[in-house]
Amino acid sequence: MAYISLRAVHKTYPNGYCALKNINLDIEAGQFIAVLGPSGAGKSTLLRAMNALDPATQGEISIDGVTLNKKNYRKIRAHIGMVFQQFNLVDRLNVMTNVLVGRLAERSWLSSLFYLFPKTDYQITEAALREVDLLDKAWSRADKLSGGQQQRVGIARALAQQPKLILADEPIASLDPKASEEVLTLLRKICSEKGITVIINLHQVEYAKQYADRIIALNAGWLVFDGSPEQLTAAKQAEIYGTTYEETSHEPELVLAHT
Amino acid sequence: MSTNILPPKPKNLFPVWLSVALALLWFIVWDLGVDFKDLLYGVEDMTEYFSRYGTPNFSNISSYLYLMVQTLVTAFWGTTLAFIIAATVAPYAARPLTPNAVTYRFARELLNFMRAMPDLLLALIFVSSMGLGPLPGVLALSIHTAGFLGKFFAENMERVPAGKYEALSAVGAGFTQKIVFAAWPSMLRESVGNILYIFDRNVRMAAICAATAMCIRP
Repeated sequence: MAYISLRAVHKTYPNGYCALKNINLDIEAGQFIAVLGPSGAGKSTLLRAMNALDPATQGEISIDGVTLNKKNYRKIRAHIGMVFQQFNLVDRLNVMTNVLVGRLAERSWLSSLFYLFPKTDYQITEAALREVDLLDKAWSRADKLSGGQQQRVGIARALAQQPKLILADEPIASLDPKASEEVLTLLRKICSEKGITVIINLHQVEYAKQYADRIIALNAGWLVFDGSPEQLTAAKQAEIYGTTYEETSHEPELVLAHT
Repeated sequence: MSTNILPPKPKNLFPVWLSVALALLWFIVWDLGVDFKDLLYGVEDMTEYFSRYGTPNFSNISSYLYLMVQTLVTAFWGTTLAFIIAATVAPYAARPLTPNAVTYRFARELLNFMRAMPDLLLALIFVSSMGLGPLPGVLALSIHTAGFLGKFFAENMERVPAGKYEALSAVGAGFTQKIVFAAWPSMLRESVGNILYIFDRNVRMAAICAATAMCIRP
């Protein structure tokens, strides 16, 4: 059985908007998977269904053989890292504490009340910060860091969870091209070296082709493409983004502009 | 659909609402029979009263100082207790944190009730059961202002960007952990301001409660 499997997953929001329609997916462990699609296609919803931040309304999602249900959300999330577009660090806490947050699932509420963590947690956090090359910033306030650095703190927080899976929801959408490549290279390295499965939402087709092992594309809640980067031809791209073949083949930048 | 013509400017209703508000204000003044001439006649009496501040009487200074310190201490402990109650109730009264709709409603109504009970009334209830002294004042102030502080905290918690709580949920953190690691660090600055405001008003109310309790002493 695949590491992650989605069976007939539907997601309808309370306002009646249907964001995911009959998604069936099998994802093998240790892969780097890019999710493409125009804005509003359901990319975020797909990721957020996998760690039940937005639980699927129909269908079944299982991760590592465990089927998600209301009772095991917290337990499952403990080992799924999540990286956000807006980083979602706590601005006034230092980098160290922000990364220690990744250990919270293992700690009792009483020790958390006093910001107490055992020594082992500090060691895990230190290793995570070394991994993202931010040890020198460990005691800086999170909001003093640049966007790229903040996103690396976000990744370190995910690593501190000692995850088997990292979900990255448009992690580079607020970053400049240089920081974007740093973050993608880092995530790729984590995937290849540690065998952590990475599922990443992207708007840039080029990056997806460059970094991913497998590309999935959604449009209006439907799964419209699933294959290797080589299989994602210009014609397929046009289909995903709903532009015509001529537009994409003559002006590749236009695809970016439309997303 | 794109167009070459600038769409008409949306109508601004502000002048209408302003005139309605002014008309209402004038109607209230007329209905209550407020006469601004009375204010003019009253100025003389007021200046006489204020002029007495120019000639203070220090004959009983040690007792004044003692009572002043007592007022401050009453306000301090009232605010501290209020903070403890408010910090405990507020997360239940904040939408992103409350476990369910019932706890939310209950916490909100509890805060409403505490705010609705005037501290003077509470002070009188506690004085009649415990006798005169700073303790009934502390309790009265803490219960009444916990209602305010709790509402301020709950609203601060609701203003924290949803993403901060989501990040905590995503690592599998629980209720208390979200309060400690997402809510408080993010809302610290506003909340310190709220606490100082409550302390400020408690100093004033401690003096008034004490004076009232003195006047109606059985």
